Amino acid sequence: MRISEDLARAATVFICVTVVLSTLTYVALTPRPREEFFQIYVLGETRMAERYYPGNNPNIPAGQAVKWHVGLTNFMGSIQYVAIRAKLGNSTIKAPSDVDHIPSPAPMLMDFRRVLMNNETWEFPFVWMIKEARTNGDVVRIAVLDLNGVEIRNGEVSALKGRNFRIIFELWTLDSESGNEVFGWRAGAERRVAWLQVWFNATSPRPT
Amino acid sequence: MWRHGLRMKIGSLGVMLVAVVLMTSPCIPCEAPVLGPSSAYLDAGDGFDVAREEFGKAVLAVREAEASGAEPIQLGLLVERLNLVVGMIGRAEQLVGRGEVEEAAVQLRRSVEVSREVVEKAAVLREEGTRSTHYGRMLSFGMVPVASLLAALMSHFSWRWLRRREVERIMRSEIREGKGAREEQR
Repeated sequence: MRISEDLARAATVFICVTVVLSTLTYVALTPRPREEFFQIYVLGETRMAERYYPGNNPNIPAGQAVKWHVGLTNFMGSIQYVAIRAKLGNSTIKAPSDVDHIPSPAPMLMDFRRVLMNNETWEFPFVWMIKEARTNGDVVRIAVLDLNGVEIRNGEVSALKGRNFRIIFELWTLDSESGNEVFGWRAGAERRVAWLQVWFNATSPRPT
Repeated sequence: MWRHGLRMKIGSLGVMLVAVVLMTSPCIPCEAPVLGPSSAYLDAGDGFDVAREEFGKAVLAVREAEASGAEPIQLGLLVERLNLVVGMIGRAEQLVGRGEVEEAAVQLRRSVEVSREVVEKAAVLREEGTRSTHYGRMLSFGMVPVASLLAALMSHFSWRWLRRREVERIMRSEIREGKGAREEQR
């Protein structure tokens, strides 16, 4: 009688401890769902959120180099192939749409691509200079732009009196389902986008 | 009698252990993840298409290796190779822009070779990762009944020791009381 009581007690302890430890093991081994996102930023020449323009003057004359630092951190929980597309826009060209996930139709200046590990930050210098701006009455057109030492000819974007140009940075990723490069990324069932823009004025163009 | 009791206990605990192992075994994954679709994600000439498709396959292969629990250091080496491919494709684009088509083709061929090499290495890493994750889980869940058995044995013997100590204490006090009563009678 005493043996069976002891056995029952030991069996109860065994079952209770097994249930508790199995639950704890399952919880410890199951990866927790977490938010998947990217962090994109543009910093000024001092690598801080300041001094985006030489002398803090957003009126950029031709021949004046402007230095920024563009950065991206991968918090997607997995390896990601990313492309940051830099585009030149003005005040009338549509900005990327956060709601419809449509990129800006502005012409692309250059794209920067890289494969990032999870939690990895990638930062690169973005040095640009208006090499040639042409005026036609009040309209100023940036004809040639130097970006990281590469000359880019652009004849599409112009602005009244050279005001309100902008450089747009869009984040594109490789979609594993479709195998295509897409604007933004897929986080579960949701689509998300990330983009930035910095405004400037193209002043003092060389007369043509 | 004592041996029979012990056999009964060991037998019952053995049955419980087997039951727990059977209960927890469905939690252990037995299949490796399935390979994803191939990719062709940018429009360009044939060489670029092939290079980008192979690169896309390599990225997906490395992602699968990562998902299977491959070592981060090994993954880092593969990511470096992938970035090498990104650089080669970018260089090829620049060369085409300058009209150096032959040199661009060389870059693209090399990028395809590196991508294929990455796919092979990623497959090996994925196998290793799947295996180590599988054994890790098996070990973790397998330790549960062992720990439970130890806890049950500890509680059993602790209980017996406490009860014996309590019985001895009561008996000693009764003996003392009996001795006292006899001395009073004298």
